Amino acid sequence: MRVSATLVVALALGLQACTAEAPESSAPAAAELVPAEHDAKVALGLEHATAVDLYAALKARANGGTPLSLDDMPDWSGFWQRVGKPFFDPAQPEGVLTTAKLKPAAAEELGRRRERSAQGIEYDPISDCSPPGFPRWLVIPFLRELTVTPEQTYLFSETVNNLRRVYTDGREHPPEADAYPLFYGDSIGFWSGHTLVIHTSQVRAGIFHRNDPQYSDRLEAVEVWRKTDAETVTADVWAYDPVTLTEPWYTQQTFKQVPNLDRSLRVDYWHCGENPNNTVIRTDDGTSQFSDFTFTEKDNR
Amino acid sequence: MLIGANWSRTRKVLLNVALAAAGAAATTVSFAAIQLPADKAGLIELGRQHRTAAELYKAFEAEADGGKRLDPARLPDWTGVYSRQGVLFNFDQDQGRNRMPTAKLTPEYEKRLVDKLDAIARGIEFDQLSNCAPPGHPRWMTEPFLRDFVITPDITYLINEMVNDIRRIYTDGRDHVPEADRYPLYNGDSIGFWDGARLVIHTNQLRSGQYQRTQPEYSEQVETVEIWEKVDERTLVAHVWVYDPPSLVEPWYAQHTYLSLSNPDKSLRIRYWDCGENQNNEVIQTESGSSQFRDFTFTESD
Repeated sequence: MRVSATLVVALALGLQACTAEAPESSAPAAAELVPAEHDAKVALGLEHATAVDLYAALKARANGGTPLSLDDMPDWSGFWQRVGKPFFDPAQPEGVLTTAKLKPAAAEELGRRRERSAQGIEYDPISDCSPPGFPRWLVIPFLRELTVTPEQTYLFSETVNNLRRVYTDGREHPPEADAYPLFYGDSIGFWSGHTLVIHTSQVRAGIFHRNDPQYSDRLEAVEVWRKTDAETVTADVWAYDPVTLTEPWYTQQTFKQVPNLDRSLRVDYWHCGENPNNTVIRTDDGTSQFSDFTFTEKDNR
Repeated sequence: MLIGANWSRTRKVLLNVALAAAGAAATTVSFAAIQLPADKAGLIELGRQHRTAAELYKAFEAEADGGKRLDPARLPDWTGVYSRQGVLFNFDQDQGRNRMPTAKLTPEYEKRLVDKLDAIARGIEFDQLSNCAPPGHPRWMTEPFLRDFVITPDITYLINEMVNDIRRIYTDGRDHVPEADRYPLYNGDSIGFWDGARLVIHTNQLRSGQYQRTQPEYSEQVETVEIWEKVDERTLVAHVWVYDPPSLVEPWYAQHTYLSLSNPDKSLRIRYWDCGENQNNEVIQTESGSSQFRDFTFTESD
């Protein structure tokens, strides 16, 4: 395309004249949106009967949220990895079954599953290449990228190419008639300054993690994500599930930046089916039967 | 040629000055330095002028003065949900209804293709996609279903809905991984740079595969150069030059078009694709090269 230099300069000067200063943000700081103390965050969940209520309250507190502008984007670039214990609640004390307040049936199921697990009887859908689903997505290991754009935030996890899309363009969830359970549900959100608030519904039933409780497809969650220092992103999570939980389960998930000075660290396509352990069959007694495969002397290293 | 090069450089300086003075978004304006031929014959010839994909990429990089890192406040707008246009199985749309593709194949790969097409005509076919393997690049270009494109200054994500197929294009100035650390990958290793609002990509380190079900195979020596640009409000075009000495006697040029789908109520959303849920999987490749699907029965409720 040939463009006259005079036209370009004129265009540029015109644009300069039209450029307005970014409006002052009225978004409350993260500290004003949610309390700092753990117990106060638990209490915040208890104040609201549903995840929808909590989300609406946070949105009201943020004056409806502020759309992100390319001029002022949070920098969440790089690779991240979850830190903490391999439980949904990384602060779970030793010897405790779970910090979730479970309904009796869910508590009994978890106790039974933990007992069987201790005997080596266990089946995990991930073994057969199914995705972990949300909210388990929050606690699985391996690399993550948190890519922010004004209209959507893409939460990538390397495991089975997991990708959550969080719509921050003002759209609502799909109408109830069109909603059906999905591994990652449907996530909408808003920004308050550089704090991302997410509401997720429409999830499939699953487990919070291998040694954690089950949840039903009525689970909904509210998350508040923010970068707390150059190497840390945290997510406050309130999970509501009237089927398995007697009250919202608050946890804080922490993701640390993975050093990548020479930029050699890259995320490649994860083809789970290449793993010779697959297909894994769930046996009648609930344990895992791996495909037959043999180790040769070469493999015995 | 010298006059052309001088004009190109002068124009670029003027544009940079103008844009710096503007200090405002110019998201839909493409001020590219690379002068692409206007017609397909010229684009094919451009590929022929370079022995390898790496050489073509270096030539583009030199023409664009190394490219320019995107300004975070002035990113090209490729938002939306896209779908590939054209005949599904053709890597090059100009193949039309012809049996053979426009690629100039080596005798060995031409024979492989003829044998494959003959087998398909007899109903003997196996496609790795049937068993949940990803298509890999460059076949990625031709797959159906939804796509979205995420641009950041340092990485551009090219995402296809099918099997959550994500290509990452590193535009932060990094080079490919050292040769000693390379091994074949489904989507290879892609580095790139921005020439105005055009994204130029070099991809190597690929696994062997096929361009599409009725298209030729390629070896793991395959490398590509792509130039992506938004040509109007709804259309992204990708020019692709494929180099693969074992299968191609000359680079194969093709153009792929992706159209933004109408989504006024924003109800169209891309969801996680769990291929294993399909009851056809897993599919076994038989000794004859055909596909044996799992036994399953249909009940009245189906």
